Amino acid sequence: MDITFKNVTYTYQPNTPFEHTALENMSFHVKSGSFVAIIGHTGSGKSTLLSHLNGLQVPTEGEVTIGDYRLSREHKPSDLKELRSKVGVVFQYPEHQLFEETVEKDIAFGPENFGVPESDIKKRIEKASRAVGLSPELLKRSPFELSGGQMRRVAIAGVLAVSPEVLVLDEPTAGLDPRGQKEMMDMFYQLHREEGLTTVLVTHSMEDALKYADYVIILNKGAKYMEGRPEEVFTQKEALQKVQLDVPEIVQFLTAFNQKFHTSIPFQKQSEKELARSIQQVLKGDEEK
Amino acid sequence: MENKPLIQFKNVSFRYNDKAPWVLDNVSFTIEEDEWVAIIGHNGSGKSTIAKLINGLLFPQKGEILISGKKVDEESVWEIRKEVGMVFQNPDNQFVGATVQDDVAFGMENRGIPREEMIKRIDETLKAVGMSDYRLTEPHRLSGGQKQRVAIASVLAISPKVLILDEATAMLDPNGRKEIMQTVSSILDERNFALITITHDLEEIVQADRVIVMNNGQVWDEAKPRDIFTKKEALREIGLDVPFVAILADELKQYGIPLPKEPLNHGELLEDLWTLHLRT
Amino acid sequence: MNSIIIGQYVPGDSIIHRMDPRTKITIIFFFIFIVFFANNVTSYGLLVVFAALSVFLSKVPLQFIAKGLTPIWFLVAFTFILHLFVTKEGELFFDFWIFEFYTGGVMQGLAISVRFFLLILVTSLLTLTTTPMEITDAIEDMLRPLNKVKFPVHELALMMSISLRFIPTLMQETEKISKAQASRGVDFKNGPIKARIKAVVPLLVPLFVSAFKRAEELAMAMEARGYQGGYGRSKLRQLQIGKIDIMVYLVFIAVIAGLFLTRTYG
Repeated sequence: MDITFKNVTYTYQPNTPFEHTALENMSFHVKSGSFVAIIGHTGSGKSTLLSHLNGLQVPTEGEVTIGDYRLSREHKPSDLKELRSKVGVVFQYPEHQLFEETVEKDIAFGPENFGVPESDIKKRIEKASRAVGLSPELLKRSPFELSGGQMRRVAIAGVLAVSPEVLVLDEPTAGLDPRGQKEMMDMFYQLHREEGLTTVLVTHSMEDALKYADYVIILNKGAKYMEGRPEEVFTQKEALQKVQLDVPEIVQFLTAFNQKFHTSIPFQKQSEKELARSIQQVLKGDEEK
Repeated sequence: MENKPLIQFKNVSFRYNDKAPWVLDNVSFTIEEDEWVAIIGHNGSGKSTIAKLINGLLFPQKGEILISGKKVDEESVWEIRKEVGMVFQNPDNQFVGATVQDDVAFGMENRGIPREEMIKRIDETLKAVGMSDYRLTEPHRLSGGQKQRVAIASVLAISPKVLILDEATAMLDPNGRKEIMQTVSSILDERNFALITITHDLEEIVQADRVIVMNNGQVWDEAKPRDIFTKKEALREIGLDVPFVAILADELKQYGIPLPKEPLNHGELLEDLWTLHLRT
Repeated sequence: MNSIIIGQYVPGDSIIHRMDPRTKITIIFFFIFIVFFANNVTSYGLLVVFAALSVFLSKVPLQFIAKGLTPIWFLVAFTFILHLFVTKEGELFFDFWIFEFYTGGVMQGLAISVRFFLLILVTSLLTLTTTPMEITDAIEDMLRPLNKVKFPVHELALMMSISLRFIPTLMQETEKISKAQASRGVDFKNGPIKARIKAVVPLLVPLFVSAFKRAEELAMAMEARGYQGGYGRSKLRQLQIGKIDIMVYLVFIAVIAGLFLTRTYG
């Protein structure tokens, strides 16, 4: 599903002393099937933006379009349920939303609410738990007996079991150890490709954005600050530093290298291996001289 | 100055109950005064349990733990807690006071420190962590990084011999993390205490004097950061991260570039490459 | 979420704000008492002037005070009407169908309404000008004599202050969880009552789970910071009776004296 923000402004508690504009005149477009990373500091409007993606919040001004759904102050669809079944949101620390007696029941909760037929639900549970790597013997256990990492997988399976077309991920790897983080991101990436999902990843990790996203949107103080392909955005060190964001390590190193060696190796999302090769060539070039 | 052992673990084993598996299995190590030690390991490797054992929130079933030569047990525990300050992971769940200054005071109140002295130390420690402007601020108006800085101030206020940061930056955003690490290094310059950081954050590891790597409840390795990162494959196998420079250095070696040492940061690697470049 | 204000406290630096919370509580206690001694227009007038002056000095915008009083308008009106119908004293001044209204009824109704009104006004002035923490401190201090009978005064105060401290945290948490469950298809706003009651379960269970986890971690953090109960503790927060308090006490004693004078001679 395509997602379009057109001049979206969102104001909390308008016309009170606590009035606060969280999004200001924001416009962007997310193509169906793409993987978009949204980056910004705490307070940059990320969470508010995210709540607009499944109608938890509706723009104060402007319009959000998600597939065929139009959300604006004048135009608030009566049935948000259908939209919410198509946009799955994995919130930060999603394990905090678990409540059922068994893992199985918790995964089934979403599909049941959205009216998936009983006969399908079992299949959905199987598929979703397989996708997140939950072994079948855990299904009958209480989610509260599981480890933190497993609980998170249960919560994610609960979102996937609804079979969304858009998957919104709000810092899905927070609090996991390095291996857990990598496994989780690889899993989302695989799902993204296999299911043809449109994925929106809210993250602080420049490295993850670089690795997985094909489009990056940078937010600052409720407004869109930059957007583009990762290799375009992440090479603009000065612009990013102005809003206290770092460039990915590989770009940092490459820039420093180019400066010191007076070379101009371009950044093309190369791997460490490819970079090492370019460096070797620079050094070898010396020998030939 | 001769280094004295501050914390000694002697064949320590711990489990939560008789039927549970051992969380720590025959763990021994020593941490010296004024040393910065990073303890790393995958989630569930037992690293946070170590922190709780150090200040007697838990007691081991086997072996013993000595702090400045004193054994940690039910009797010594309140004395021990004066010497061991801890900052936990969740910034919200350790903020007791109604305002910043109340929270910094909490630990001092528990120890019956006179009010005038408290006020003096609140001023000093809040200044040290850069939170002087927030004395009367309520916790819900602070960012995660600010709350953790207050937590550090409240530990400093009781001048412990060791500060343990138990994944204190894990729930913070990159700016919050930077705030904390800057705060920590600036107070390390001014005061003497040992620092134990329990962490996944590579930058925190690189800055430490020594790294203890935990795996499945055992000490897997204990070495300087530079030496730890030479074992990349093994580290990955036990679920840990390897810094970008270490990966790049490895790739460069594959291409036959003879790097003289394991680089710890961009600057070191660039310098080494530059030296090679000049030599040719 | 910076807009959360616990209770109805309106920040300020007025004389009333700066008073020691114990003074405020003491005065309110006696005020409640003496309101029942007012018996004529002059004595009522005196109390009304005292309350009005307090409101004026607090510099709290009138709309906040009006908001605090909304729930009691109905009660005031009800008691007034009740007295109007039931009290058969004084002169009959109006007669309609089976109803007879006496001047005594009007006077009594008015008196009771004014009493009500004054009571609520001064108590809400307390919560409008005093933070919940100050009230907690004052209660702890004033209950201290109960320590002798082993009443856990310190523990009670600590419990109150921690609860207050965690209200905003839990409010944020509630908002987060309800958003997450709404995204999983829970409808909190529409549907039959039964369905909506059921919708509360996915909200309450996670909230309880998280509150327990927080409590556990907080207890551990407190212990790590050397907390071992109230014994041997010192305190940073200190209440101090200042010039303002003494002044206010004097004025209040004058009011009481005035009240009894007008009661007898007014």
